[in-house]
Order: sequence, then C-alpha cells, then structure tokens
Amino acid sequence: MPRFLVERSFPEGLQIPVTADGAATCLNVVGHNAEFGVTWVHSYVTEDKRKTFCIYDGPSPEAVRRAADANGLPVDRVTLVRVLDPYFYR
Amino acid sequence: MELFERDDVETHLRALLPGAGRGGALALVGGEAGVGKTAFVRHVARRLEGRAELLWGDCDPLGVPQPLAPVLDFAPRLLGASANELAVDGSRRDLLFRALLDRLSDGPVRLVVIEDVHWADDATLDVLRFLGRRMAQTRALLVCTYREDALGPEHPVRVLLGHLAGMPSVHRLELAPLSPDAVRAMCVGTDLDPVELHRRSGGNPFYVTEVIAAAGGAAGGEGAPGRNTHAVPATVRDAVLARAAGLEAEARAVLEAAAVLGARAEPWLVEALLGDAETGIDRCLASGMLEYAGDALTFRHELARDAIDQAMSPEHRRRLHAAVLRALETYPDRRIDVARMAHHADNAHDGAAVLVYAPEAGRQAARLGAHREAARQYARALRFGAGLEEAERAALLEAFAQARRVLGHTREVLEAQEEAARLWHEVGDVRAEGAALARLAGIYVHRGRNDDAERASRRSLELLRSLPPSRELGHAQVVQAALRMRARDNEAAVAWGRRALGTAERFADVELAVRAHCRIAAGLLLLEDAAGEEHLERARRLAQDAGLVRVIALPDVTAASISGEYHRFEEARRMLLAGIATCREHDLDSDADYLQAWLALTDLHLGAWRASAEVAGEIVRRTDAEAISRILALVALGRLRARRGDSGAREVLDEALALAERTHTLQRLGPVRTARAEEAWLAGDLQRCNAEAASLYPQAIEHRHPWFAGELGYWLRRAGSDVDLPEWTAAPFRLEADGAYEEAAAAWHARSCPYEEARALARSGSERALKRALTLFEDLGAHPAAAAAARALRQLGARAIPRGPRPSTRAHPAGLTPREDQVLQLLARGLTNRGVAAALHISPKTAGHHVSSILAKLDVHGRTEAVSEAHRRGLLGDARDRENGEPT
Repeated sequence: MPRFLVERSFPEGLQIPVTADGAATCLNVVGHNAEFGVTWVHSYVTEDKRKTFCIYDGPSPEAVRRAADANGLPVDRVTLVRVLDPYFYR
Repeated sequence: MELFERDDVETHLRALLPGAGRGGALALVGGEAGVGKTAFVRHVARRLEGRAELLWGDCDPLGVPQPLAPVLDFAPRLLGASANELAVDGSRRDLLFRALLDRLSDGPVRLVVIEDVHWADDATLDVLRFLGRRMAQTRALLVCTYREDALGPEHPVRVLLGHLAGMPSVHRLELAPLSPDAVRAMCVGTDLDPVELHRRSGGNPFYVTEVIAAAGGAAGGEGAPGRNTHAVPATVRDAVLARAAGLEAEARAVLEAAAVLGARAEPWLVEALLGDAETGIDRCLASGMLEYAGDALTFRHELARDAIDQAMSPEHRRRLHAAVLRALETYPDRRIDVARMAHHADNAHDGAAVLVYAPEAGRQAARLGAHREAARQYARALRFGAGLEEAERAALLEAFAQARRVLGHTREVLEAQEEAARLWHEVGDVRAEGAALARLAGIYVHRGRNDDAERASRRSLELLRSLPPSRELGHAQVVQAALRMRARDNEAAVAWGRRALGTAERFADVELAVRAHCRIAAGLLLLEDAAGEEHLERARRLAQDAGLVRVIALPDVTAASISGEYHRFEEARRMLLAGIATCREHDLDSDADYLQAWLALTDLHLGAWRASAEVAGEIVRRTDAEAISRILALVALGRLRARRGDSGAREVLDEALALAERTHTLQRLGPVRTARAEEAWLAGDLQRCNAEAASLYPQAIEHRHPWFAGELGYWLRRAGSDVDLPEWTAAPFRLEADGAYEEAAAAWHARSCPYEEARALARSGSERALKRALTLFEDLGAHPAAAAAARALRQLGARAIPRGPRPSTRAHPAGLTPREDQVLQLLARGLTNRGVAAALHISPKTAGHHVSSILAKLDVHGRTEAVSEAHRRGLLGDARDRENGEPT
C-alpha cells in the first residue's frame, strides 16, 4: 500500500482537547478512513498548530482526499513518500 | 439426502423471495466444484413449493455452449412459443429481454434458477446482466449458481459480477466446504476415518459422499464393508473411479456413453449406442451414480462425468462421439441442436461434419449476440478447413473476425481479416475484396495502425467504385468518413459522410444511414456549423425508430465528445448525462464508459474536482475499460493531481501517452499532450513543457484545431518559445498569450472554467485580480497555484491575504462538505442511497459513504433521524445556491 504525506493548514490552529471529546474526534477519523481503505499512521503538528503533516497509507491520493472530506479536514497536498532512515545502508 | 451446515445460507436466500412491499432480487450462489450448489438450490426450491412458481435452466459444460440454451429451458413457460421465435430472430434480442422482464414483473411470485453460469454463453450472460440490473422491479427471485474456482480474473462471469456489484438487489451467497464435525456426522455407520477424510477432501461434500458411497456407507451404493478402515482416495477423481469400479461391465458402458453424451444423456441415445441398456441403466440408477433429471439421465455431479470422461482411452472416446453423431443424424425428426452436433463432430475428428455444423452454429450464435461462442465455432471450422476452397475459407475467416472483434481487436482478428482480404483478391472477387478491405481499415484503426487503415480504406473505395453502387460501397464510404473525422479533416469527413448517406438511402440501409449522419454531424460540429445538430437529431430518430441498439448511443457519443473537445463544457455535461442514461437503458457498457470518461474531464474543467476524481478513478481502477475511455480518464486524473499538487500525475499521464501514441491521431493525442504540457509546467520543468507542446503543435496547426492548437501554443509561449497563435485559435488561450489577462479570464468565466479563469487572473499583476484568483484556487483546492498567487500578493505588499482551508466546508454550520450537503438535501426528499447515487451520478457505495459521514457529523443513527435533525438545525433547503456541489 503506498504511503502518503498529507499537508494540512489550520489558519485558526488545530484544537483537539485532551478529553473524551478529543478521543472521540480521533476515533471518528479512524472510522471514516476505513471506509475509503486508508489508514492514518501518525501526524506531526507545528508549534503554532497551524500546519499538520500526516502520514497515511492508502490506495491513491484521491482516496486520501475523500477520507479527508468525510472527516471535514483540509488538505493542501498529498505526496507519495517512502521511508528513509540514517542507517538505511546497513 | 440431508444437507449439512446450510441453514444460514438457506435463511438468507429465502428472505430474498419477493413479498409484500419487497421487489425481486438476484442471488448469486458461489462455491467450489462439488460444494453442493445443485443440492442446495433444489432443496430451497422444494421448501418454497407453493409459495413461488419454479422455473429452471441449466448451462452445459459443452466445449462451445448452445447460445441461450439455459434461458430457453424456461422462457417458453413464460412467453409461450414466441420465446423461441424471438430467440431465433437475434436481430430483436432486446424484445426477448424486455418480454422476459415484463413477464417476471407481474403474475405470481417466481423462483428462477439458472445453474452453472460459469459455463454460460455470452447471450445468456447478457440476459443475466439485463435482468440483474432490473430485478428490483420484478416479482421474482433469480438464483444463479457458479463455481467460484472456475472464474479466472478475465472470465466473463467475473466481469458480469463486476458490472452488478453494488446493486442493492444483487446478493452474493457463498457455500462453504463442510466442517470436520459435519464430516464426522456423515461418516457415522461407516468405518472411514473422519479426520483423514476431512483433511483429504477439504470438506468438499461431493468428494465426501463419493468416498462414503464407495465404502458402502450411507449415501447409497453397495460395496461390502471391509474389515479394515477404508483408505481415503487421494483425489475426487479417484473417489469417483473407485465407485465406478464396483459396477459391472454393462453399467460401466452406460456411464461412459452418458459421459460422452454430456450433461444430459437421453436414454434413447444411450440405447442407440449400446443396444439394449436397460440393465446397465438400472444398475447406474440404483448405485446413485446416475439419476433422472426430467427425461434424461445425468451424473450426480459434473465432477463425476468429467472423471469418467477423462478415464476413457482417446480412441474409445472418439468412437463413441462418432456413434452419437451418427445416431443424432439418423433421427432427423428430433430437433437438431447444431452446437451439439458440432461438439460431437469435433470430438469424433470428423472434419466433414464439423464443416457442416460448426459454421451453422457460428451463424446462430452470432445472430443471438453470443460473439465468443460464434468466434469459437468459426475457429473450430477453420481448424478442419485445410481442404476448403479459397472463397469458403475467406468467408469463414471474415465471419470469425467479425464475431471476435466485438470482444476486442486482437492480433488474431487482424490476421484473419488480412488473410480473408488476400484470399478474396486471389479468387478475383472484387466486391468481396473491397468490403473486406473496408472492414480491415476499421480493425487497423482500433489497432492504432492509422497509415495501414488509410491504405486499406483507399483501396477498398477504388475497388468498390469500379463496380455498380452497392451497400458495400456505402460501408467503405462511412469508414473513410470516420478516418477523416478522427484525423480532424472535417470538410472531407462531411463529404464522405454525405456520399455514404446517399448510398444508404439508395439501399434503404438504416444502420448505415445512422452512421453516415453521425459522421456528417461530427464534421459539421467540428467546423462549428450548427447544421450538425439536425443530422444528430435525424440519427437519433432513425436509430430509435428501428430499435438499432448497436448505434443508439452513437449520436450522443459524437455530440458530447465534440462539445468537450471544444470546451463547451456545460453543454457537454448535459449531453453526457443524457447519453449515459441512454447507454444504461440499453446496457451499452463500453459506450457508457467512454461518456463517463468525458464526464470526468468535463467536471474537471467545470471545477467539480471531487466528482471528477470519483468517476475517473473508477474507470482507471477497472481493467476492462477500452483504451479510448481509459486515455480520457487518465488525462482527467493526471490534470487533477497536477493542479492539486498531489503525487502520481506524471505516472498516469505516461500511461495515457503510451495508449494514445498507438492511435497516431490528434483526437487522442491532443488531450494527452496538452495535459502533459500543463503537468510539466506545474512541476516547474519548462523544457519538458516546451517539448510536450512542440511535439503536437504542428499537427494541431495543420488541422486548424482551435483548441488543441490554442492550448499547445499557449504552453509553448509559457515555456518561453516565441510562437504567434493564429487568429483562428481559441480566444481564451489567444487572449492570454497576447497579455490580455482580464479578457481571457472573462472568456474562461463565460465557459464556467474556474481554474483557467484564476490562472489568467493571477497573471494580471493587479492586487484585486490576484486576490480573486487566490480565492478561486483555494476553493478548488489547487494548492500549488494558490501558494504562487499568495506569494505574488505578498510581493505586491498586499495586506489581508485570504487564506485557509476550503471556505465552503467551514461555512457549513454542521461541517458538511458541499457534496454531503447535497446528499442531505436528497435524503430530505426521501431518496434512497441508490436514488442519491443516480441523482448525483456516483456509485451507490460512494453515496453510502456520504450518508454515513452525514450521520456521524449530525451525530444521529439513521437517515430519518438525520433529516429531522437537519430540519431542526435549519440545514435543509439552503443548499440550493450550492447546487453544483463544488464551490465556484
């Protein structure tokens, strides 16, 4: 399954409270993703919480975008990526 | 016989029987060979006795099946004698389909069983496709069984399953092998080791019962129980042969004769082969190896027939087939089934008989639209055709090519048609040679060999014009018109179309007239001459009045693709939706694909990117779409990914180019090269952008194609080349190339192309225009262009640069996307998922995704609750101004 980096912008900042509501929001995302055959691996958030970089597994950029639509999440761009680590030559 | 572990499937199947307020359904019952499909459906049919009228049809494992045989097993009971008449007159096959549908839609509740559809001929599969899509409106449950393990990825039934996937009235049921417990229960009273039997048989019920029978157990048969535990045979075939070995010679002879006779062995034929066979038949029936189905003997399972058949010596087998053939020929009062005769003749290696029956069977299959079977019958005749005269051989080759090309223009089609043309030339039949060359030209076009097509077409015209006018000349003229149209030599296309029309009228050939009208229309419309519309209208009326299903979508395909190519996208969209509806009505799947691909491209330009992605993605994912549809879907996807800044644009456009290059035509290369130039430009590779555009620009100029030349010239200019766009090129591109950015933007706006509008605005340099461009780009989700516009604004020192994610999404009070909002409004009007899918032109599955997303966002559990919640929050009705689903 191809892996994608999904860039998102949140002009007002991303707010996921560390509460039951926040947990439900995340689970909701996971549930929707399954319908489109995509998997949210993990994300990085900038200090000001205005941008996120999310790693997704999915069949195509379009599937990743459809899942985002279903979740009401913005998408700037979807880039195909591969893992590269400092010790890849060993 | 008792059925093990089938209760759940039975409950499921019985629940599908139409009843109060519930329409009909199609149930596809799959499972491996020997899993007990027949036993299961017979059991269910018995249980439903009195509640439903039972109709039954069987598909035979004949090498090349008799077209429509399973349908004709039961159709006469629904339609009376007219069923056979309709089936023989293949030209009005659609009438048979409709009549079946009508009859199943009223009267008593019916259970229609068609067994073993993995052996079905193409015409039968067409019936299933047609009925399958419409079962909801009937009062019948149609049950089809098939062997899951017989379906390779390219198997026609696999394709059929794909076509029916997602329809709410289509259900797939699977029969699983038996569990160890069930096998243990069946072994009670035998000395078999149930664990070993389950392991070897994999729980296959037929295998298990054969072994039990051979061991003298519960399933019938009478071998003496041994003192030691019976060994379990290694394969199902061994199990069958072990059981047969327990019978006397007379009974084994009956088994062999029955195996050669096929799925149904008539007792009179068995006797014709063996003389008095009463004892043998009785022994086979008593042992349970054969049984009566109606008035014919059948094996308990095809696996058993196959095992016996394969175990015979080839010579013994051949002699039996020859004897069957003689027997069938000496009883002329019995209905002669030519496909069956051809089968026995082939297996008897009787070339003379094959040459009598196979071509006849081929013609019959072709009439019924069973193209695969027709091609195989002709191929069979050709295998025995070494001694034929040239003219006979040529006719067979052409018949083969015509039947086979319906399934794809493969190399063997081309070679057969080439050989036919050569043979006609040798025997000096000028008319036949001319006609063959015209067909050959058509095949060359599909193979992408346009130069050869031109040569063949010109030669065919030369030959046929040397003779008095003929229908064949008309076909040659319309082929030439199509060639001119594809090359966008529009005046010539019109002229040839008119000649073809003259010939068509002279010979009252309606189908030829429809094709001619469409070619004339295409030429005129490409010349932007509105008179083309009248020809389209004439073509539509003629095709409809004569019920010419094959060409019924041709006018829509012609008109919509030209509107798209000429960037009249709103008009194109209307025609595409109408055309797609026509294709759906008549099950014209490949035409529907082509129109869908155009719709994806049209939606892309109209700014409906999500709809475009959905449709294009669906076609690209499929492997059975034709190249011309695939090219356009790939182009739509490539442009979309490039404009969004997503990965994968280059890859899909590479594939599109590879497919389009085989055609050498502007019609296919134009969309691909323009898209590739745009992708290169967006990737910042000006050199590649220039090369892409330059590779086709001269051809576009030569053909004076305003849009291809306009866009290619535009990319050449943007990549730094110094070209002047001729004044006949499309205004929006020319205006922008000349630096009239705001005028260009207005021209794009008039054509409802928001991305192109924004692209022109972004170059104007004014803060106001840049801000407008930025908003348009952001609404579309065109990230790279939006980022560039924002940068340009910052450089201008602008303040309050608009930014943020899709404002339209945020604007919705419940956080619904525009598409979800649209779906919600349709739910409020009482539409089902299926209705929503049809209205929005998306798959029912996608509609389902939207619905579940709406439920989640509104935090409700059902559609009714969703509607009342939406009403409570005032979410209904206000979406009117967001009608198109995508922000513009």
